[in-house]
Amino acid sequence: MLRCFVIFSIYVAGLLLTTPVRAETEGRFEVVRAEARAVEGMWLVDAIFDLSLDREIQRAVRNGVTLTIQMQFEVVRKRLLWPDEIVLENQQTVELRYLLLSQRYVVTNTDTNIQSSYATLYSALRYVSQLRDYPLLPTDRLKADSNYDVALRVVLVKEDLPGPLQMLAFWSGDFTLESEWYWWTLKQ
Amino acid sequence: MVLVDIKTVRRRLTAVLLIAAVSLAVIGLALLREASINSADAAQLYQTVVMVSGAGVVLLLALIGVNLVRLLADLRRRRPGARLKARLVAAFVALLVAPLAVVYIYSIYFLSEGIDSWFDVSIESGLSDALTLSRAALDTRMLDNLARTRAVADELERLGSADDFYNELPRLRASSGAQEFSIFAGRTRIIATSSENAAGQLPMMPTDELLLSLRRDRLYVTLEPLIDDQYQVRTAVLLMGRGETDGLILQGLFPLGKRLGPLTSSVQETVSRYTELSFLREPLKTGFIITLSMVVFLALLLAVYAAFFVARRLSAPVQNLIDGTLAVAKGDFDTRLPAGQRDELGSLVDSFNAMIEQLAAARADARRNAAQVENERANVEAILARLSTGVIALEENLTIRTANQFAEALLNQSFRGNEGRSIEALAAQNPAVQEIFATLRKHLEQDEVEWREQIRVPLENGARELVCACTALPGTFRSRGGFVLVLDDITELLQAQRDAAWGEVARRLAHEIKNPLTPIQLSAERIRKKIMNNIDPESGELLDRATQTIVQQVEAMRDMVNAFSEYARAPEMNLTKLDLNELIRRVADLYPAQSRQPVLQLKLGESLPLISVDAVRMRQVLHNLIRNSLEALENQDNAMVQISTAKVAYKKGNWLQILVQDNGPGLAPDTQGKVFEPYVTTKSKGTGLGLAIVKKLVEEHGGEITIDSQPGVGTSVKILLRVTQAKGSDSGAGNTDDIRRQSA
Repeated sequence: MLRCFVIFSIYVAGLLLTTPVRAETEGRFEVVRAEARAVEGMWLVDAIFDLSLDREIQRAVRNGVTLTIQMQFEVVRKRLLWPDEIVLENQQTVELRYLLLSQRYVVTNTDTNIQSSYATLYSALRYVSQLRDYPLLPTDRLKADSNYDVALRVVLVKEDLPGPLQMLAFWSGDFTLESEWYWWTLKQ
Repeated sequence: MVLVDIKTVRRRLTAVLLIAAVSLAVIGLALLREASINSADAAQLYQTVVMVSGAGVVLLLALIGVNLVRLLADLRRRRPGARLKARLVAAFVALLVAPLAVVYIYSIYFLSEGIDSWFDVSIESGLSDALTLSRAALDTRMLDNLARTRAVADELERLGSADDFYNELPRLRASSGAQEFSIFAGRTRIIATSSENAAGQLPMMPTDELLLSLRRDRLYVTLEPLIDDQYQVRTAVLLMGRGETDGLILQGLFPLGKRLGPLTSSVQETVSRYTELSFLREPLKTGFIITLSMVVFLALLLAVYAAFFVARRLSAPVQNLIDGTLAVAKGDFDTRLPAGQRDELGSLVDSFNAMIEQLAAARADARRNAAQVENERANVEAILARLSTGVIALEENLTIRTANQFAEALLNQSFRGNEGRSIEALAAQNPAVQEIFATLRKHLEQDEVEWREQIRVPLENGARELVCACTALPGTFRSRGGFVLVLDDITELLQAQRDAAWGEVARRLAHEIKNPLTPIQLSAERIRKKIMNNIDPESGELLDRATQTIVQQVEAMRDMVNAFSEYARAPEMNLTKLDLNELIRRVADLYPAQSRQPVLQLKLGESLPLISVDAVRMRQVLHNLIRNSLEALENQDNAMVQISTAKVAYKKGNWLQILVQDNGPGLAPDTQGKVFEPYVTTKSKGTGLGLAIVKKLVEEHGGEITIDSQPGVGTSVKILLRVTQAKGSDSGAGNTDDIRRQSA
């Protein structure tokens, strides 16, 4: 009896230990590269992300669940003696969904309402993973004699998932996708 | 007081913790319900739910843990009521857990089955068919649009010039029903375009996907979703012209139409919605099961704590009763249980308190009675102790129950410490007790329990005459309560009676015999005088011898009568304080040492107190004793008479002891007890009144005299005289009175 209990405990512990590892190896959000350039009085950001979804999320998308992916920006003024000042917090939100009838993946920028469709999830994610000319902020909002850092990360917004998935996401790590903050300095 | 405060604080803390735990649990459950319903804030709500419920669970677990540890400690210490409490807790938990588990299992079952039942197979099949049909219809439309595009491409290929494309494209677009036709050279170069939209608007550029498909299949068609649930068909073909037109891309955009568009949108929306719901079925079930499990777990914890609470409330009065009973068992009748509720247990507590009050009153009465009995017993003991009668109480099995001091003194046997021992065992060590036991056994063998008999018991001071009376004590109907032996020492009484009788005899003898002696003597002398001269000498000599004999015998008889008279006479005592040693020396001086006479030795104690005695009588006592000894030692070598005095403690007082010892032939054992009686003598001559007079004179002084003689060793006569207290005249007077009274 005790032996059975020990074996069962080891089995459960093994499951608990291996499950998060499996989830992390399949789905990943990462900022590969990002830079900002000043063009005609506006700081424009170009960024490349590495976005991959694990099988469970892919299955959810194919079954009609809409994913909300957010690129979150922070512009911080560096100060010597004082805590850094957050100048700007902004984000760009895109929604990714699959249309069963047309069998196409649709990416919608909720800010600009621009929509595009793709035959494969890979194409759709590839489109999302390339950010071009995102208008971060006007150049005159930054002081010339200050140093500014920009942080960028990409996250899967769990709050926009359907309720049952949110509940599941609370207990499981499958739906937790967010990249580390990617920092770089604005060169004025 | 400090304990009460700590208990109060602990109780209040527990109440606060319990309220907090229940509140957190209820709030957690409410938030859980909200999270399950409101999917928009489910994630945040869930976090709050878990934190709140977790806090509630921790508090409840802590409370349950404390209760459990306390219960286990009580069980280990075998505290009264702990097992009852444990059983109640186990019963309540079992009662609560069993239905809870059943409800939980059936809830999960119905939850799974209920959610699954929402997704009907026929609906899924219908939707799948609708999807297939819609796709078929759309495929037909798309193929039709592709064919039209191909036809336009054929027309354009025949034109052969790019300028002609610009001129002909609007017509061809209008004839084909397309919304837009555009000709691209590569990805970004527009050769010609025609659209229903306003002029100047850029055409939709070819996508990578389109270019890839054209490179592979030379044609491309797809259904593209637009904003506002609109759809369009995008087609593309490669132109097979000559020269500069070869390899150009013709892209056409066709609207889905006013009828097919909304239908497509509707089908898309419905299928997507159903598919999503179908996909979310498992997460929904998992979420509901987790929610239900949390609710059940919280309810279980609340139920377990409630079990502890109810068990404590129910077992508390019982525990109080047990504590109270134990306290009463230990003799604490001041214990009062706190009044319970108005139920059966409350009535039991009231009855218990009433019973304890009655017990306390009964015990107080018993104590009073016991004290009264003890007082009575002490009084009886005091009376018995002061009685000049020996009393011995025996159990039915003839073991000693108690005896008074006089019995101990009389029989020279200690009964204290021998309670419970058989009188037979004591009899083996004490001849006096042996005599009493023999008499008792004799009567018991004859089944006599009420008897009275005079017995003679041997003691160190000589034999004593006792009247022994036995009475059975009241007992139960099956057994007797024992026996009481009452011993009266009548030795002195008998002696007094005997003395009185002898005194009377002596007086009468003196009176009756003394009177005729003088006439006899005178008559004898007259006869001698008258006849002596008238008879022959031989007869005269005979007459003279006869008359001489008569006169001598009359004298001897007169001496004897005088002795009797002396014995019977009881003149007034003339007590004076004197030194006894001095008196003894003067008497001893009358017996000077002579050859062939026994040696008279004096061994007088020093510093003896003065004593009140009648000097004449005491001198007579000494003369009689010395004379007796000297007569007993006649013709004996190494004869010796020793007179010694000493101060001794006797009968709680100080006494002077006079010991007259000789090393004569001694007395026979059967004579020893009678030597103080008149007319008892072992000598060939003497009246037999010497020792009787001595004893009478000693007793007139309130003293005691005993004789101890061993044949062949010698005889010892011991006289004990009570010392008169010299420091106070009262005591002396009192003592004198006492002596007079005894003399009387």
